[in-house]
Amino acid sequence: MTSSNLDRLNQREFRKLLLSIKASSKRLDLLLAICDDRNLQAQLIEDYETELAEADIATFRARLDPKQPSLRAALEELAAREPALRDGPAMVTVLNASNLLGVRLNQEQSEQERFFFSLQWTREALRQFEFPVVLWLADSIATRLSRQAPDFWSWRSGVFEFAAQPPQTVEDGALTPVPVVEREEKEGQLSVAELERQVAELEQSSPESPLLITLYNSLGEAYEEEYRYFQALEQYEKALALAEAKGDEAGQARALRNLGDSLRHCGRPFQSLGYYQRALALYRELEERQGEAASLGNLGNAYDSLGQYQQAIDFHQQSLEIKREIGDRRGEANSLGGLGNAYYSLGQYQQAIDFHQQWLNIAREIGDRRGESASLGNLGIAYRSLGQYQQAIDFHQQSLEIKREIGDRQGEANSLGGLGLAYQSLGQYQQAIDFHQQWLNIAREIGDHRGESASLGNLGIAYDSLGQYQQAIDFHQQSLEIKQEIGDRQGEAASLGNLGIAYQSLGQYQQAIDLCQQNLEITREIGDRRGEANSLFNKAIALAKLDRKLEAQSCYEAAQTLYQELGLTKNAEKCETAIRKLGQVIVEVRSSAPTIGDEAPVARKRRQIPLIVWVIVGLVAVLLIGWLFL
Amino acid sequence: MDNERYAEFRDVLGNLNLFPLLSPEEIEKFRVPYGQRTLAKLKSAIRNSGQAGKLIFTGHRGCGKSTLLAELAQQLRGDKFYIARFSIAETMEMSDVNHISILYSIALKLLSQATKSQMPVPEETKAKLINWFTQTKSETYSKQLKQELAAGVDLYGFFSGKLQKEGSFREEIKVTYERRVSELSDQIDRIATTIQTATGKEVLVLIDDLDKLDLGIVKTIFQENVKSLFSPRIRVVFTIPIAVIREAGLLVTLDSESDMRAMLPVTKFYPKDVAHEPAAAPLEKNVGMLEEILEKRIPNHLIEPAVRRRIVLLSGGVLREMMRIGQECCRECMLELELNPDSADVKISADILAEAVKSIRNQFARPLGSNRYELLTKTYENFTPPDAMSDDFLELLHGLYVLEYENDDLWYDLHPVVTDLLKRRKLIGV
Repeated sequence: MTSSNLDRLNQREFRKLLLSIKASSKRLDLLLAICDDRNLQAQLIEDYETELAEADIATFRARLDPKQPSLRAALEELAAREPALRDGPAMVTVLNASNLLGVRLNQEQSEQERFFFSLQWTREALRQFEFPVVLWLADSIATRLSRQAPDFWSWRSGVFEFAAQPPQTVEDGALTPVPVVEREEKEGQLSVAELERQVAELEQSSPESPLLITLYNSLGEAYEEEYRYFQALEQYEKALALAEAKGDEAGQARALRNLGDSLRHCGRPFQSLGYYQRALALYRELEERQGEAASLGNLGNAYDSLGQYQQAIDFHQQSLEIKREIGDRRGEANSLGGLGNAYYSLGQYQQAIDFHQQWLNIAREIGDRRGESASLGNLGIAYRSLGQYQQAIDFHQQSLEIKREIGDRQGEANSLGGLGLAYQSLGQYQQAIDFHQQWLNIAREIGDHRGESASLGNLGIAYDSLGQYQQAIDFHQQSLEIKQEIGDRQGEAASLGNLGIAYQSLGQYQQAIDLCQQNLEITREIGDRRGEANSLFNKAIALAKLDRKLEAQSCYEAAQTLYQELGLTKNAEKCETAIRKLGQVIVEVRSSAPTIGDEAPVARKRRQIPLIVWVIVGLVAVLLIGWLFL
Repeated sequence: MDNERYAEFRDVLGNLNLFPLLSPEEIEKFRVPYGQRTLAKLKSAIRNSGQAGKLIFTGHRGCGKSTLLAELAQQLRGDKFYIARFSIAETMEMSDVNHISILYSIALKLLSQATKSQMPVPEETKAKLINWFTQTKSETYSKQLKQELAAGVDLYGFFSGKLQKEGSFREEIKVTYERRVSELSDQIDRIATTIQTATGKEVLVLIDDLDKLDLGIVKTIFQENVKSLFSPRIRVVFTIPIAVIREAGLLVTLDSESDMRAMLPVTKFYPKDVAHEPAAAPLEKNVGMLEEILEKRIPNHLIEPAVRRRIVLLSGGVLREMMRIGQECCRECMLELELNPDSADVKISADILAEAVKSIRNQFARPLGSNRYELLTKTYENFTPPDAMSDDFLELLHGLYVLEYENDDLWYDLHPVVTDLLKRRKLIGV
């Protein structure tokens, strides 16, 4: 989709936005772009950036940091990082305003409120900048902004509204799309509409009713099923407040756990920990074993998201014990899956496969379709990491079918990503790009930040493989920013590593070494040993390029040891070979990398060593032998 | 596409910048005599007030207050005044504005301005005055400040940077002066005295942008702490949001404590008795004045004269809204030129304006909840709201949905774009 097939009104708005940016490329101007369709938004931004580049206007992107959501801070930070911003005609696109939370949680102000507040004195605060700013907003946020930041609103110099495009069919090379089956309703779970109606009625007729606690929690859960996390958070917050007022500890515990879940799902695992801990304490006090076990499992998942795998394993183990004790089969399966994920992240694939297989068995036994599809997907990911690509593709296909059948959008997206990765490993990059693009579209549609950052990263890798390095760097950079924002340390490390590889391809070895070093530090910090080995390996390659052989050798050796410990013998052999060749010629092997996404690391295609290199090696060897014997 | 006409519109779009005219060059280029009555009133009030006079300056958002203050400063500079004008927004975050931080900013601004200009202040006096700023409640903090404030540092930059960025510093200031506001005020007097003895001029401080504060914050400052705030013995002009002076209790306080209140009114186009009559003739003088402003920014050949007049009337007399409508028109013309590069004679016409207003109308409608429409309808019908003190109404006033006009008595009308909006919704008769 490009801007040329926008409908007429969107097309007009797009042209107006573009000409406004061009007209004010050397002075401050506040342009607000409103759009609810994140895929359309991404497309529009890309399109105007392309056109502006042709007009020699440099384009930059800044993201608001949910921890400190201030437009000024975001722009200052960008200006410090990008000196080019001060020099010539330039513009800045500000992203992420639509992802700020509208609920207060336990803070004085919600992220949105802090953001609006920071906008209040815009004229003075932003005067130092001499470029137009395009702030992208979802429709509802724009309305809140106009009410809560009236001064900023009055300085807007243009508002451009884009209507969501009707959904487009995706071109699909390998898979025939399966129609989405209506979601199976959970037992006793009412529809969102019915729950909303009940809430409205009860709030009207008896606002103090304790029933509202359950109702708010249920409505939140129903929203969550539809990936409407922000709305879910609002309900949970109401549930928590009422439960606290009524001294209802069970209601509080449920609301707290739910708050944690929603926060984790919308990319804020660091914020979810506190809620899970509070829920855990309450469940223990109430001697509610199931809730206790579930909270422990939640904590395990949250630590996993934060890249603290050892901690995650501890929590999953504790959770598993309780579940077995009380005979909770579904819960047991979940814990096994959690353990599988953590071991996978630690690079212990065989162990991971064992756990996922156990999970799959239980899921099938109790008829848990969601669990079945998820475990199949994770098996696919693990097999790919072991280099068994066809096996991996089979698992992903099976998984995808179930997910489409039960209408699990997020799962579907992950399967697409898994397939993309597998095809990538097989060297079929165009195929891979198609899958990743579909993954990205769904992730944006449902607001899955982790999926979004992961798919962007994988697109980067695919473009790198195709030799389009600048494109690759752009994708990795976008991916990196989201990961930093949501606190995904492992992902952050992976993006840094991938950037390193791209710079290496461009021949900027010092840059590459620096990035590998940053990558290395994070992997060590979070205990990701495979990641550590990969970054050492990549660093060694860059060092060798700069003829720093001794350093390169010690990096290779360290990587080799780690690979051996992880049972990744092929990689260990690669190190061995590389070390042997260090003394002779510059190695052309690039390898291995960085993990991306939820689950999946990406093995890179080995570059063929050019014939000429072998000839040289041969010659050297002959000469050497000749010399020895003379 | 980048033909001559297109370039012309691009320049006009730049001319119609929403930001106030502050630099003398900008004022020279675009300024037309506007708000001259208010300016004259302010000038004479300043001259005639006692040496410790406090003046309140108010008006709708976007009707030219900042530019007027800049002009006032320029004109009085040649007079017997030593002027310090600053925006409170430059010095601190909105959440930290209170009477103490305002006074602190005044002291800081005065001293730094005095030390920067080559004023014959004895070094010892200067050192003592500066030293005062480093005396805070906790000794360690004082020491640290002294160390940081090494010789050669720009005083204002140093402290205002701290005010803006360091929470601990703001806290330290608050703790230090909470119970000793009079000391702050004395320091201001000391600096002012130094300036006056060195230059022979009386000090006048103009504080801009206090009107951007949330209503709640303004109320606390001007209601509960007005005595402290007004305690320095120098002349100060404070800007205040218009909605605040419509609050009865606060108005009484302000009137009794301050020497004068000046308001920059919205330019009125119709007398009240014919304001809602479709065939009413507008007040020629006022319309002409705003037309002149537009003429300075949009060359005649790019706009039809009747449309220029229409834009003026649609602005409701609020300058920033007039610029905004003009900008929207330019965008429409540029789009037209992009789509049909051959139509070289594109100018701002009735059709273009209709397109532009559509967009502006939507922007006006966005913040309005359904309960506000009723209030707007009533205000329109009676030229006054059911309850002028209600928060809802004050917010509409704050947001330019309702404009206040002054003759012998006060009356209200809707912003013309809002009137248009209500008519389309059939809430009021066409």
